[in-house]
Amino acid sequence: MIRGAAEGRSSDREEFARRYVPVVRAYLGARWRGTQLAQQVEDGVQEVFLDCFKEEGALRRVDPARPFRAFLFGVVRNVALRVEERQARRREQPAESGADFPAADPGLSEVFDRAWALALLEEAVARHRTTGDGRRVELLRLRFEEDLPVREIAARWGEDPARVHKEYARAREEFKRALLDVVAFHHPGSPGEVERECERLLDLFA
Amino acid sequence: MDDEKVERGLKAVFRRQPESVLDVIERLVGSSARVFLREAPEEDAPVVLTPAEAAPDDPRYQMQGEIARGGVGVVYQGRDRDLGRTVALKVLRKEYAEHAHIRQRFVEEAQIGGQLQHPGIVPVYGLGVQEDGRPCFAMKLVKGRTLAALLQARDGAGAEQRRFLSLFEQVCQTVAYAHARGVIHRDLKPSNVMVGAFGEVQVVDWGFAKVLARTEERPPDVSVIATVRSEREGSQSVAGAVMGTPAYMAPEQALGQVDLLDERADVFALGAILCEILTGQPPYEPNDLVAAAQGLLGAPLERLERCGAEAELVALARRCLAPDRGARPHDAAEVAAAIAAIHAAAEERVRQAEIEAVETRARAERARVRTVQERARVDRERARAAAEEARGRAARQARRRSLAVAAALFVAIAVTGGIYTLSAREREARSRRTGAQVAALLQEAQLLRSRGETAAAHAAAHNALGLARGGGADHRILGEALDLMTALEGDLRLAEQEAAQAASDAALLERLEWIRMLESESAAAWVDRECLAALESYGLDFLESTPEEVAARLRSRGEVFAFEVALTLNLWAARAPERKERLLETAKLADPDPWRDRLRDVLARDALDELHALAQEPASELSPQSAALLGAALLSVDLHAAAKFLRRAVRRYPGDVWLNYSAGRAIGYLRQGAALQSVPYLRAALAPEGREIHHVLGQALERIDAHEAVAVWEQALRRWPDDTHLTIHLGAALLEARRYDEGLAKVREALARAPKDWWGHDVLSRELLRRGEREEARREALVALELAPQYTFGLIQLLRDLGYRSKALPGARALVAQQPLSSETRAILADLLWRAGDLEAAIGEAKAAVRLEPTSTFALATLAEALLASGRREEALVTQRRALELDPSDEDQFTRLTSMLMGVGDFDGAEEIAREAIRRYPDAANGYNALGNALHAKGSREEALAAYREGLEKEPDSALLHYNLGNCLGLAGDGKAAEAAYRRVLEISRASPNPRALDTVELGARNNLAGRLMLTGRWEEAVEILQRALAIAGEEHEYTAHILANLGETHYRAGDPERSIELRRRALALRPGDPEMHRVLGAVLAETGRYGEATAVLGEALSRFPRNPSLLNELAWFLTTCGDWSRRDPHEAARLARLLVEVDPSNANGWGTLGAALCCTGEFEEAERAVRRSIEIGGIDAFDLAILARAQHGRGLVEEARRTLDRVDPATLHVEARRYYEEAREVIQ
Repeated sequence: MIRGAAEGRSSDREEFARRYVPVVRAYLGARWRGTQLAQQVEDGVQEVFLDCFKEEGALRRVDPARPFRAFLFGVVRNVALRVEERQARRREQPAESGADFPAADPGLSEVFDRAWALALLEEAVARHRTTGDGRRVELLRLRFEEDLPVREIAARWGEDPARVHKEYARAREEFKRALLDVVAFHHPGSPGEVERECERLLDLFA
Repeated sequence: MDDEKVERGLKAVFRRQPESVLDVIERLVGSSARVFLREAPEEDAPVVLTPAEAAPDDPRYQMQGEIARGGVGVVYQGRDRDLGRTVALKVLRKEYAEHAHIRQRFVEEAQIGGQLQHPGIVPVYGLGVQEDGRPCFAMKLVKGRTLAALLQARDGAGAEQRRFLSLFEQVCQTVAYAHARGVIHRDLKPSNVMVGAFGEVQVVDWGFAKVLARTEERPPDVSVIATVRSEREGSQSVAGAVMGTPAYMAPEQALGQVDLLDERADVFALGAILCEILTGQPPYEPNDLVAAAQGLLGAPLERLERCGAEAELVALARRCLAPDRGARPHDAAEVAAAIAAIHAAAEERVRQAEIEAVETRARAERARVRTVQERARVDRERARAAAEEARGRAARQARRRSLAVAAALFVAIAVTGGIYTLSAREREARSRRTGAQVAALLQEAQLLRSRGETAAAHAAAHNALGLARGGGADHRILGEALDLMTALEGDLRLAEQEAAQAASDAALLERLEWIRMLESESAAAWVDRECLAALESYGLDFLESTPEEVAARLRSRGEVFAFEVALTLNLWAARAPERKERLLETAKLADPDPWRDRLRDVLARDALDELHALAQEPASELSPQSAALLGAALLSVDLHAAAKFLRRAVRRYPGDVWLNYSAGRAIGYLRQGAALQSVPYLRAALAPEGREIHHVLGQALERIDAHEAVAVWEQALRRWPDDTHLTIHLGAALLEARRYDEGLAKVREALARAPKDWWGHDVLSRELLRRGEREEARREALVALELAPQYTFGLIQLLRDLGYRSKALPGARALVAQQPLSSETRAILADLLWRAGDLEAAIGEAKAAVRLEPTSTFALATLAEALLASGRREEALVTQRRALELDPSDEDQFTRLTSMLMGVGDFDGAEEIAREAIRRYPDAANGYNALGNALHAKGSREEALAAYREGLEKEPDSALLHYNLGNCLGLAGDGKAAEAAYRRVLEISRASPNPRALDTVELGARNNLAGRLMLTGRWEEAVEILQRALAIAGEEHEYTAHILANLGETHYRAGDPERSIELRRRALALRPGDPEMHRVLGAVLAETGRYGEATAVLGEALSRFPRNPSLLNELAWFLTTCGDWSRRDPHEAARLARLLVEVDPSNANGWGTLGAALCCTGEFEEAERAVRRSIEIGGIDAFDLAILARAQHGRGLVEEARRTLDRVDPATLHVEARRYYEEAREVIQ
């Protein structure tokens, strides 16, 4: 998909944008929150994707053997710095109202990582929806979106709680597999490495 | 990967916790607000920031600097990232981070502030913990001055008593509220009272506050404060600790008797503040804790006695300062009530004085009446006595003379003496009383005067004077009253003059705004006249006054006012060359600023290069006023430069209304299609009171979204309901939104009120033209012309459309004479010259336009068109390519160049440019459309279809792409798909916010869709579709005639030939220069048996267009098959048909017609060759078979002819073709 997007295939580009726009937006939004630059988040997002898609653009340099997350983070951060530099050149003195200095960077990489992790988790949920058993998909939704205990779900379904518990364990396993698939797509490596990347992503929600 | 982690991930994704409220909003509505308001007007004391020393990092608040450093906390100025507001953020100092009780007190301060909700207490927004664990809280950033600073700044001790007592009363009420909630402040002093710009009071620094025990009695409806300590028992303040400021401290507080502290400690502090207000000093020296502890109040009490204040005030201060707390008022509420009572008493005294003054005057009047009556009575008595005296005089005279005189003298002395004694006593007492009352009233008047309440002061002084005059006050006090009254009358006159002047200022600014609003659409003479009239109505005779006099008058009204007027003077100067020097000189004097002076010098010299150089200077070095002035100057000479500069200026001053407005205006006028980019700027500048900005925004929206434009005009009209010009705009926007009747009614309504608004006549004329009421439209255009003889651009176009080329051209020349340096004006003239056929003059003007503004794509495009029209094809293409190079960001330039290349038949070139457009704008439809058209023209139909379809992937709602796709599909024989494409165009148009922009495409789609429907016999729907098309097109659209012709066809097919003929006649009247209109009318006349008329119509048309293939075919066919044999002329028909196939050898119909004619002249072999050629080109049809059969029969191939004829299905033949078939059949059988 990334190669296709780099080569200009519109369907791949659409897919690429669909997946990564939320991540880029979250990072730039957090970085520029409370500054005049906040008004340029959408422009910044556009600029990131222009950087990726242009001829001989960033996507051409993607190394399929290395994690894509770190690569994308580099691109987004470069664009952010460029926009900030432009802004600084325009304004030779601080604004009368509001400050224009972007927030400090270190915490922001975590914002990016969290947005990244959420994007991957969402993708895993979507994947599970298409590949998993319908009943188990619904079970996970009830459990986590509606926050219902398994016992209550069982009552609602009129089934034995122990049976629903088992079903729930299977649903979790299904989801885990979907997540591993999604992570493997973005983070090439041995199964062990993929598993570790998965753990690292989930640790962000500790 | 354990299950717990997986569940955590699932939780995170199913129940995402957004980082801020803005994130939630963003997620819900797709965008989040990022509003940055302008700073509030500068207040007395701006907050002074020092660089924050190790400012803490806070996720919600961005630290901007340190405001103050207190005992335990540091106050920073911070900005709330989510709400965009500035706050004060108090953070516990690092050195106390580990002191539990200080942390506790700090948190308590926040809790107290958070729970005390009163206008006089600074609201606490939130409590938090820094990353290093230090507590902090955000509160409102209070701007203003402290009461201490105000007291220090007054003229003398005890001055402005009324004002300070009013502030003091607010302090008392605030503290009373805190007391009611169980909180005592413990450090009340003037420096802890902030007074805002509008006299609002806030009691600050509750850091020493104490929450009283809950057991104490509180009013039942007031809840007590709960803090971390009060929630826990036995955690009271540390016994013995002394907190507060000695100068205002109660003895028990100074002694550290914490347990004894209650509301009365605050009452003492309030007394101390009152003491300072009345005497200029607090009770004790600032750091004299000993005096405070011992309650040494001798000196302050003495000062209070001597201060001359009202006795009640002095008594209240003394009570509050009582060393024995039992003798003080119980709490602040009692002090507030006492102060209110004193105020009320003072007011009552004033009222009483007024009443007394009135009574005194009444008494005086009654006394005067009594005196007159008494005098009359005395006179009558005297007369009677005199008469009696006369009668008895003689008898008594001798005997009683001495005694009588003596007695009379005694009585007189006694009576007179008695009266005298009584009056003097009364007068003295009354004088004393009146004197006191007058003095009180005069004091009141003085106070009111010091507060600027002149009218109230005047009323009080008037009463005082009345009382002094009527009540016998002594001369000194009467003199005082008279002096004050005179001074106040002077004040009142001044105030009245100032109010009148301010109203006059506002009226002038409003009128100038109105002139600016209409300036760009009006004649220079109008601008000149209106500006002169505006200044005259302001009392300034611009022509008779010197620039110094005008400038001095403007500057006397303040810099802001002078700048606004000077800005208009600049605009006026650009439109009035003969006054330019004087206007710019006046502007320089009115608005002296070195940079703006430089700019005005440049303008005075018309030094455009220097003007452009000024625009290159960094915007950051310009003030917003200077940037606005430069932007306005550029706007009138170079839109591109103006737009570029103003964009930069807005980035520098994003909140500046005038810059946003100018940027929006410049960008919107830049080129067709740029209105969309201008709208964000205009919206940023939109203020409820800004008529000018409503005007420009509405105009911009008219080009983007007519419905939204209607909303803007309606909003503006709610604010300015009598503005007829805005009403006309509303009408025009309604017309744009295809709400024709409403729009027309609005325009007519406005014109009834303002018959001299030329633009209203212009709009009305256009609408009438659309409705086909050409005569009335012409009349309206002439009225507009008369009112606006300068011919603005729009009016010139209207005149051209109405066929007034003779008027439009001189109009454009007049415009050029007025604005010789305007590239746009020269380009307009070039456009008209080109249309009038004067190509060399057109090229000259267009070249001048390009020289004036080498980067103007409008000028370049006009030049390219003129060059192309004069046959200088290469130069035209080079010029258009240059326009494209200059502004490759303008997609229109690509479209124009491809159209031009298509026009000259360079389809390869068009394809190349279209592909370049696609490379640059891969997501825009225009490039694909141009590519499809080029490929279609080259005959690559499949590739063209692919191009259109690819474009539709990018822009699924492009009506133009659907339309062209439909055309291409129709020609490719896929009628169903073509029909679907046309229907999609109609859907898109219905959903469009500005459907009129799609008129042409929609009309084309309707026309072609109707054609498709007719082919499949769906007449009724076709009629419906075309009727609607006709309503949209009006009478003047270029497609109207085609629609009428098609509608005629549907009626003919539906069996109504009369209606069909009528419609086709109308079509021909609209487009007499279009041979197709002649042909279709001739055809229907022939088909309905009106051969004579048909001959005339077709014959005349052919004489005008002798080589037109359609006409040649129609007439040849008519002469071959005419139902009236006497009109048949097969030899002439064969001649015409031969000419036709010579002109257009690929015309299958032509070959067929030739075959038919040759059969009639007996040239059967050639006829058979011709018809076979027809079949070869266009495929076989029934008609060709009929001709072929006849040719075969003529050649003696009877059986073949029969077999051929048998293949014909007569039902598929039209009237005349069937007649030919029948004849062939008759001959063959």
